[in-house]
Amino acid sequence: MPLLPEPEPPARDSASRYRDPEWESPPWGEIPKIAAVDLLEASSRTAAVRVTAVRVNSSGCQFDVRALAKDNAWRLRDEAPRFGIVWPDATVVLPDAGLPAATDQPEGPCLVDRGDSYWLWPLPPPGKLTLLLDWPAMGIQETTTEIDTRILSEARAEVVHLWDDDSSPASS
Amino acid sequence: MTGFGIKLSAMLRGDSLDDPSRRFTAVRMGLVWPDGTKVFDPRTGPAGAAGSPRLGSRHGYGATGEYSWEWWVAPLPPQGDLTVVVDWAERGFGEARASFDTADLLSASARVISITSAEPDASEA
Repeated sequence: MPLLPEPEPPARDSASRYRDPEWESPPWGEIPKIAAVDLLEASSRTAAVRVTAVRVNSSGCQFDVRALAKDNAWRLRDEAPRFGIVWPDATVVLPDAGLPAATDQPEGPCLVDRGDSYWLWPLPPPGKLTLLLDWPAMGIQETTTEIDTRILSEARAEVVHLWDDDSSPASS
Repeated sequence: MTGFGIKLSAMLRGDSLDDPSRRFTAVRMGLVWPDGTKVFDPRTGPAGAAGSPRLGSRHGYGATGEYSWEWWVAPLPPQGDLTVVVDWAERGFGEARASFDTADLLSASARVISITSAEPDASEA
């Protein structure tokens, strides 16, 4: 007779299914709107990195970052490009800095590294947002660009909201 | 410079793909080239003639409820309208299509950063 108890079946109702808090990942059930492409890039003779797009959700936005190097071992050496944001009030927001426990809502903006993109929460207030990008391991110095947050708020109006929960729709 | 990528994202309400083993074939995607040539993923449609545009090197990935597919299309199309066609029969989607001017693709190809053709750093010499 097995020692371990019978595993419980996976939750099927949305009420019991775990979802990341909104400051950690894009909301469920939305199709983001692309607000801009090719925002920022930097390159050397052996590597290049580009912020290829910003995708806006109702509660924040995602910056897609593509990196390419002749020596692809940087992925193994944990020498990824670095990305950051300067908030309209001049606060510097760096990835995963000051993230609270999962259940505590942070007081300020958060930038979460999601592998090939960065999730910025919340959407910034009116003003200018500065993007920072460098790749020290590849000899790429810091480069910046500034965007008007109006493009984000305008894109937010075009986010497609699909559903409020993730329960399976009733079969007909 | 030699082609372009297309990424398709899908969100599923409820569970994951109906049959994960079909993650590469559940969604079908095709193109209509500016000259009218139809281009299919050979996994889900007829292969094109030799020398015709190709749609392939497909990737599919994702977690419960959210999936992405990517195709590589070569070569770059000529100037004109390119039409993207998608369907997903088992999810009840009939054929949907959208057309766009290839001018954006062609101008983007001029901004591609190439590092593989660059000369080596002095430190590598």
